[in-house]
Amino acid sequence: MVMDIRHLLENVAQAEEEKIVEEVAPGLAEWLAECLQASNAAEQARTLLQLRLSVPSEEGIELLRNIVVDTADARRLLAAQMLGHHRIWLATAAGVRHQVALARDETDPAVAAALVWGLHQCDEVAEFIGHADAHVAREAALATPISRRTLSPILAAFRAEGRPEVERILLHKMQQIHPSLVRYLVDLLVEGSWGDRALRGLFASLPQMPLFELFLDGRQPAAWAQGDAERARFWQRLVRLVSAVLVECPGTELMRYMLSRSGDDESFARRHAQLLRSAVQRADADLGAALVGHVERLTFGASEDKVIRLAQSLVDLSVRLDGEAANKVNSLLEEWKSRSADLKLKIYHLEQGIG
Amino acid sequence: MGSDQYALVQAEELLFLLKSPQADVRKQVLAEYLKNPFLDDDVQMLALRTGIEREVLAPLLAELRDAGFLQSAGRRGQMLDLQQIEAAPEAQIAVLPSFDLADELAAEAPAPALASFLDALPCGAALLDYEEGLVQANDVFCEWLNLPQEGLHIAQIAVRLGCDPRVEADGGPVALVLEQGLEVQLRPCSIGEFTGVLAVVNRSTLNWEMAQVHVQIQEDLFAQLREEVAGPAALLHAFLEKPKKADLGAARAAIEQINAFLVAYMLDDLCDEDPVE
Repeated sequence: MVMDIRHLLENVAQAEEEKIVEEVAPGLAEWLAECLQASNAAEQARTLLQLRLSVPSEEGIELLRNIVVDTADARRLLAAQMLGHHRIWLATAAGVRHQVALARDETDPAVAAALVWGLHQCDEVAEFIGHADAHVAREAALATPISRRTLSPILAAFRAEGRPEVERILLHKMQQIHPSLVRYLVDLLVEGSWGDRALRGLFASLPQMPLFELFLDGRQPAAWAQGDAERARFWQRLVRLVSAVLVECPGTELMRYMLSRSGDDESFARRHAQLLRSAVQRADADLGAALVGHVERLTFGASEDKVIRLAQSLVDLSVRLDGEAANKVNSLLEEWKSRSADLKLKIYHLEQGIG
Repeated sequence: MGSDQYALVQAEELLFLLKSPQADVRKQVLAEYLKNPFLDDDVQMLALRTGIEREVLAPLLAELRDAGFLQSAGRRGQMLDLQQIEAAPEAQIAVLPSFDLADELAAEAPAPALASFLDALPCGAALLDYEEGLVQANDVFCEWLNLPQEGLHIAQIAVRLGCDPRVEADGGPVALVLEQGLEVQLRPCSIGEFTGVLAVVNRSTLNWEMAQVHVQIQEDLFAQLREEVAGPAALLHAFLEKPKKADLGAARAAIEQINAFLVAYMLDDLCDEDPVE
């Protein structure tokens, strides 16, 4: 007869595991408790400093996780914050998955936010942008990096239009998006229904150059917009909104690019004349002054055709500038007029608004 | 940290917060650190977190660092400065039930009871009158600077500091290091009818010792780099420039020496990779 001792082995294993946890991290649990029970803030600060400086081992991390999952434990918020500070668990995919699972299952918003904070700069944190609790969602927005994997949940948050704080954070982050991701982002737009306000906000935050190239300079709409009338209409709506956003607040890089291309390429100049003119007419004084210098460099020793193509922009700029910049525009126009009678006449017409 | 939030409230910082036109912004920034004492955001992230413009936030963080609220956390991050509390425990920090620091302190109206206020401080602090040269100093101030507690006059402080604090702080706040780990901060201030200089003495011997240890480690490392890497690298360079004139054996030995150094510092993992074709 053989005696079944498997249950005894399990008990031994469990006891050993508990022993390990207590032995390898003898101070951690106590420091957490001391920090919470501190009678004054100086004592609390000392234990906090201790917690900051002590890098937990794998068992220590496990201990912190156990504290976090124990809903009756008063130390759980501090443990969650400590997990976010000592992120040695980031070294393994399992560690990240464990942290995500903890955050998913957490019902206390403060603890959940701390766990989400611990995931900062991990793509996985993006799923919490749409969290039911605003505090957690805000922390997730702060923690989310802009990458191919996170774009979809980010766009979902914009579409929802319910969380101004989350939108503010994400829109600011979108300014840092890599230009190569803009096309992918645009392809994702077709996934849901969008309000004009959300789209305008999004486009105003994205880098202007890839938007211009994609929507206004490209001859073909995106693949998804071809062969489907509804999607083609949506594409046209995007084009209209992008055009409006770019004209409303043109950036230096875009303006320089458009002026350079307009000078070099007659068909480009014809295609985008209206857009360029509208953008120039809205440029502020600083941008205007910078553009005058750019036009001057572009037209140094340039052909008459190129000068004529850029003259319209310069005449438009002259209306918006004053002081030294205006003097520079006038002297430049006078210099161009002196090149030939033909050029003089055309610039004169432009100045009279009959060009 | 739940409802029992804490904050550093040294005398100087209290007065600073109360007077500051940007008190609300400072409170907002500190509130984020109080919510999570492990927070180590850089300026950009903190600007995003608080919604405060980066241009506004950067100088403000520098002020909070100077005031001992925050400390650098590497890679341009900022953390709550807990070591300041460590250096002078007990009453240097106060437990605050909420973030309305300025409101609570304003309600307490500390100005009329300056002497008792100074006595309650854990750090050395003294108020020096511009006009009459009179001094109100707490016991810690006198003890740390070895000054008499009775009949203290500004002239005695000037002798101890080696300068007239009223003149020294005239252009703005200054910090004087009297000896290793003993620092006096002088800041012009006005509280009610009082106008003068606030002098705060801090002891940070531990910080000074830590800094010395870091300096030593750096110097040792540089010396080793010079001996173990720079020298052999020069040999290699000479060999690559003129292979025929230089000694191949010496070049090989140089590589071995560099490699041994890399192994010692566990930086040799790149050497194991296959060369790029």
